[in-house]
Amino acid sequence: MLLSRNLISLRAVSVALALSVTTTAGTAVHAQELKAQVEADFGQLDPAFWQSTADLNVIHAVFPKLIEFKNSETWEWELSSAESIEQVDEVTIRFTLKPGLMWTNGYGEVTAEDVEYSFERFKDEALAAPNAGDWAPLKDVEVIDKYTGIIHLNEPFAPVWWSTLPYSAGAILSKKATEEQGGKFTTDPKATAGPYKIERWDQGQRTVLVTHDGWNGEAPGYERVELIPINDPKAAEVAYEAGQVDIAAVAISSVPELEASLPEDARLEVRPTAGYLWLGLNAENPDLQDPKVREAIKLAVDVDTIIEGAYFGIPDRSTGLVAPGLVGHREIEMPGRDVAAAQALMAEAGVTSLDLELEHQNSTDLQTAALIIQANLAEIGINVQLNTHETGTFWSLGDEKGVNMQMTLKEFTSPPDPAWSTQWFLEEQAGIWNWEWFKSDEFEKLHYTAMAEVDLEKRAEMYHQMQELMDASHSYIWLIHPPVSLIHTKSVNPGLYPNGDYKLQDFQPAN
Amino acid sequence: MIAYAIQRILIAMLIVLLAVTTLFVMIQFVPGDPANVMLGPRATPELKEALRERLHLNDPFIVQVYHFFIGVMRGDLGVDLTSNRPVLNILIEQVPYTASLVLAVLLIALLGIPIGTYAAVHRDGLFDQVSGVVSVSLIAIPPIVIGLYLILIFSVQLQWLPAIGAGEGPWEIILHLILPTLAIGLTWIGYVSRLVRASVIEVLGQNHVKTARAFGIPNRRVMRAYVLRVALPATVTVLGVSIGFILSSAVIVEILFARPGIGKLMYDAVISRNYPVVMGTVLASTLFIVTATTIADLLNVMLDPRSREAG
Repeated sequence: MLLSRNLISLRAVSVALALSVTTTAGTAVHAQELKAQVEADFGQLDPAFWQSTADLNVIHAVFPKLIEFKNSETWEWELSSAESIEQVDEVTIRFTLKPGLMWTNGYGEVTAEDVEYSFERFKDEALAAPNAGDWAPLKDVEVIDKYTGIIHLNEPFAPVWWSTLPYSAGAILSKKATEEQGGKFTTDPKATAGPYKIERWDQGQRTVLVTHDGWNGEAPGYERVELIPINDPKAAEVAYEAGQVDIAAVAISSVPELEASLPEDARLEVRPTAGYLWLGLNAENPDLQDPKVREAIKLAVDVDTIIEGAYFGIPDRSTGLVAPGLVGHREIEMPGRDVAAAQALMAEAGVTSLDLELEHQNSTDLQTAALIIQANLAEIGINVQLNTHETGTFWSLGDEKGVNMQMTLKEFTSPPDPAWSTQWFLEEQAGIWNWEWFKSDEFEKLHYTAMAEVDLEKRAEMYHQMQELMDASHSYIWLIHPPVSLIHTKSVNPGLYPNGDYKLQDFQPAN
Repeated sequence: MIAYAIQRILIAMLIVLLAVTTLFVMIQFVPGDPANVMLGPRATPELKEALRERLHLNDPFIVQVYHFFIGVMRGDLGVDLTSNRPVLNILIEQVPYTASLVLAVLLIALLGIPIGTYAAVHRDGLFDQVSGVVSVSLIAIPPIVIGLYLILIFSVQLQWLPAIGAGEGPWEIILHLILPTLAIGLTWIGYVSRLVRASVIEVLGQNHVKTARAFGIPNRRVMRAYVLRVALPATVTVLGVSIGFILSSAVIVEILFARPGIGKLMYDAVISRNYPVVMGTVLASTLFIVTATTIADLLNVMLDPRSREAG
């Protein structure tokens, strides 16, 4: 009780104070050192087991990959540790490593055998890797010589160029070092070969990365990077203002104020992520089984007001679960609010009044969004009870409530491939992560077909169709792709993936 | 005295046992699956089930308590569900941060003793009135608010002291300790000063003090030998008990100052349903509190033997 009361105070008071104090800009300029705020400590550096952005920040920096996403606002990859890579046919990818890339701690040179080991271990049943799906269609990796190998797939697999090779599953491990560790590790890999290596990790306080002498690619901009875990975005903002970090993620609620009075030597970067936020309606629930009721709710919810009220008008309205910049994103006009049509649908359904429950997490933005939805639905005779949950409780609701779940405000994150997003809405996920209990044979078929479709246009069309099926179910009211907002000193040119995640090796000191 | 000490230690052990068992019971009612924490959303149901079996999560809670205490006796508190690191190692790393913070708070709380004593001796004087207002104000303001203002003034505006982290090297560690200590400690200076003031005023009116003064014993000696000796034991007991409150404040302050420590570790573990870490941090903080209160009890008896009979 004391804890929760104080945490509420923390948020409320920090908002008030942050807005009321004229601050000096961050001054933590270290010519050879970058101090970057991260949301949390890393917990799993094994690419087959990673779970969070904090893990990814370090995995991307310390393990080499054949190809790598660019420091850019669009998802495009470039060669990294591969000298060349080519898709020979739909199920064959040939690569050649750049010679001279060395493992730390004397584990020798990075070879095609390491690549073979790194990718094939995902399929090892004894490893029981939760992320095995990243390499699900992998047949094997054939080693041609020290630097050259051929990746054989059992079937065409489009995500291989999006969420596999340039992402975490494309990370190359040292076969010898990993086998010495029993075939897996958590936070302490014995050998790495990326642009940075881990110098030290003080759990809860800092992770220090330093440049790796054995890296044969472009030298990172900073010799030393300190990652400082600060979970609360307001605390992160204060840390930036106090000059203790060079870059920090700030709360979306701070963006309007910061834009209005940005310190002279600071820059603000706001980017949409590949994640998606939506209001989900459980079609299996007796009170929501009638599609007319679900459609009425969809027409009654004022998405624009939610964006304005809860997100300060910053993000664009979402058109589906596929974010801008990804294959299958829809550039369409979403229908506006229509209360009269919603009321007519309720009358057609023979529902004059209805009591529903809306489950949501306890963040300020989601609470505001829930309040707006409650007010919107009151206009069509729906009385909404808001059930606020802390994070852990919220994500266990699927097990707890099952079909008794009614409405949920949910946010998923996603790597840059739409298959990652659509996998949660398959029938096998009903009640697990598919809380809308959405079931569509056509959707299932398209999901698997699209994964095997390497023609981008055809693939995009399939994801359009899948989103249309979701729309037609009236179980999904798409809200936004939650943005990430970063403040940094002008002395730093940040290296960022399109979704705002750090690409640490591409951070550069500004001249 | 030895028998009394043994009795207090046995009670302390019972308290630890009860606290941990109670937590186990509470955890049964908390929604959230640790298997999801460890394996993430993409894990298959079979993988999750295997993990639950391995962690004894499917066992009745009494069996889980048994496994936990057997582990504790072997020095095995389980592993962090996220990083797979032994919880004991994590605790060993984190305890010094919290212990140094609590110790620093207790030290500055002792400032309340001279303040309270001086205010009592000069009752209703200007110092007494000013210290009274300031003390009550400090007691009334939550540490979180004090902490925020300290950060905004000393870190953001003046940039004199660091706002986050715990620092490296003795000087840096001390610098990083100042603001968190003040955030919690200012309240306790106020509290201790009011407590000492009230105790001293009460003792000053007692017959043995009047008698001592009637015999012409110097005031300084009267204060030291006849007033503070009687008035302070209660303060020692309060400071011992206060460890629990200081620890709960440390949770908030460690989050606010992004400072490592048991409090922040416990908060993160509860949010992520990382139960082995929750149990480890609860065990550590319970041991911390029980040890501190037991020491305070024993000190109290040493300073004032009458309290043994009273207790």
